[in-house]
Amino acid sequence: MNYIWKEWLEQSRGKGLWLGLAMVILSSMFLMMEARSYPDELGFDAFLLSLYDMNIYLVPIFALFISSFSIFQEKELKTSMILLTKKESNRSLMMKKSIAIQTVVIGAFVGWYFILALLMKWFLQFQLSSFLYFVATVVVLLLIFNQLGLFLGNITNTKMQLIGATIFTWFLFVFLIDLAFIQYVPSVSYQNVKLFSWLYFLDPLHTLRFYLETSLGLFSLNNMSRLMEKMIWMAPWKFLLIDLAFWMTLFFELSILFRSKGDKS
Amino acid sequence: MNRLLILFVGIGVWIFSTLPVSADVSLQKLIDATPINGELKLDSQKYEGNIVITKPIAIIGKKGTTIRGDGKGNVVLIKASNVTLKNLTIEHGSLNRSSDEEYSGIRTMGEHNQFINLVIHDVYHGLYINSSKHNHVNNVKVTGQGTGKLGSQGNGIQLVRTSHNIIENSTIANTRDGIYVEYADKNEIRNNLVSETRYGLHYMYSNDNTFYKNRFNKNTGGAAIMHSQGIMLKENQFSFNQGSRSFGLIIQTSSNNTVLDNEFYLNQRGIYLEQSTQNRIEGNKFFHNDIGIELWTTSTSQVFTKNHFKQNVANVLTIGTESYNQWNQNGKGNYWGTELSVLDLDQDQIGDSPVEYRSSLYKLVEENELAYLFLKSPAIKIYEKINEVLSTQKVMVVDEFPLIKKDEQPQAPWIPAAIPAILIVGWIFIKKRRSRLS
Repeated sequence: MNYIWKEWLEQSRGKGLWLGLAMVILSSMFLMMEARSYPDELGFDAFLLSLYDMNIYLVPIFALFISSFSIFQEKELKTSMILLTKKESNRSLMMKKSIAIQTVVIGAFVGWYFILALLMKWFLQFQLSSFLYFVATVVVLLLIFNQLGLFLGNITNTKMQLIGATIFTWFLFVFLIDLAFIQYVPSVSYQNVKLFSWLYFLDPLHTLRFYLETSLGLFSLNNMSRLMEKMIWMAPWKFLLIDLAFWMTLFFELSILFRSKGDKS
Repeated sequence: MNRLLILFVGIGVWIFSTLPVSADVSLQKLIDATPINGELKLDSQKYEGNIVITKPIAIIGKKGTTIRGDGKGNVVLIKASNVTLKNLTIEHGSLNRSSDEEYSGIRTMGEHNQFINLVIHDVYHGLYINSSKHNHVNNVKVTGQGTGKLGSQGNGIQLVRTSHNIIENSTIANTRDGIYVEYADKNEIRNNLVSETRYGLHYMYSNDNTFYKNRFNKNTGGAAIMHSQGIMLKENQFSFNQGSRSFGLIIQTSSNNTVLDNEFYLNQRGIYLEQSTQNRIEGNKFFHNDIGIELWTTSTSQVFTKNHFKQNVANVLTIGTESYNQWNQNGKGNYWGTELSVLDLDQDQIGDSPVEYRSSLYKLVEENELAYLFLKSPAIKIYEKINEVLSTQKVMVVDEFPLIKKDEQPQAPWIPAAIPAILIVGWIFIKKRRSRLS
């Protein structure tokens, strides 16, 4: 609890979280105005999809920056060293820091979306279940990219390294991985589609979109071709849980394994 | 003791009186007793089916009037003309697919029959109009068993070998196909809502039909026009038809159809044209689809004019070798939004020079259907840019007379402006408060 309170004080006094949130808020408002131009019965679902499309760009980079700088600051200010020399092991410190960051950042973003829900009720045909599916995608997105940010903050030695690594990671997830997939797509056949499926759904951005579209009843899993049936061989929510467990565990363990103690200079 | 007995008897009488009861006289007998052209008014209760109507009568129910079949055939079979069914719920038909025929909630084989304010559910086909003419369907609600049971259920409204029918103001959901039309000419289908079906509308071998102001939402495919000609689709809405190889409207092996002033929102493909010729696509809006129009080169001699394209991942993809299609008529092309820069120095709302719409996505889509999974990816824009630089894009459309239209104003522009204003005011307030405290 102390860690969460400390994290909250640090984040709320800093500008990063509010700046990120302000951009999400502004973008959300513009998207809401655009969604109102749709026919009434479509506006809400269209808005949620547009929000998700926006989140793909904004949420990963904010999560990466906020969480990586938070852990980096612990190293820079030597607070992590003090904690580690007292009662904390590296693993328990990392665990508590992860919980604190996740709680604060997710709390702030989800808090905003619940405020936005009031506006949605006012302007659009609000559906609670659809909204909750959307919030679930935001939470998962934040969980994975916060953990990735903590990993980056842990392994880098200088701020320049950290900024470079964060931007590269964002670009990798948002653009480069899909460019690689697109090159590979023509060679996918019925025989090797299962392998492609695993690779495709291990990318959280793919799985989250799929989960959202199927949960909202927008993407039909009926009448699929044989290839697509083999491609989507498991329920999207199961892929999502696998992604969540895989990436969070991976980055958590890597953070401990490759921990750097800060600027050697 | 006696008081207790009276109490129990009283409770028993009360319980039995509240239970739904069947009509004392069977509905079939009531129908048989109704004179030709007579009117049978039913009470607000459940009647046992199945029933067969062999003479012109009107059966009119109230709120809560239900005809429940025995689950072994058509709930209502009409062999006569000039029959009216009004204010009824029809339920529990046979779902058996091993029988001689596919059963329905209502199967009609007469002419000039009317179906008004009906609710049909728990049946194979909802309403089956077979080998008849001049029937009128108004405000009929058919609900199927859900998209997970497509194989074991029929269509919402099915028209086979029939003509001159009107189907209007009806709602169909969760059936196999919403409205299935086969060998049925000169019908008018208007103001209906079809959602969460395989094909909202499935058309086979049917000519000269009109579709007006229908909405096809959240189906695997909005409407499928196959082997048909002379069809008019006007002011319909095809939206959220997403899925594996989904579409708003498919026109396949069909010719001389008109698609006029329809809206295509958020579909995987707005219109998909294959092996079709001489169709006219005019004044439609293609907004936020993955692909606005997918045109296979087996389709030729189409006319596209006055269509609006806005924020589709790809406005038009032509797939295959070269084919001839006309992207303007009488000096009017299409609106291409902000994606194509169109100069209009003389301000006549028509571009001064032809524009070309290019894309490299045609190759991806042609090679593997999994490419559709990446159309919404942020990487697609980079992929297109790379191909533009490498000159590997292909010309999809040449529009000699591109149209220009000023964008409409947003409905409430004050809201986006208000939010940053509130944030700035809040920030200033906190700053001042902090400085006072310090």
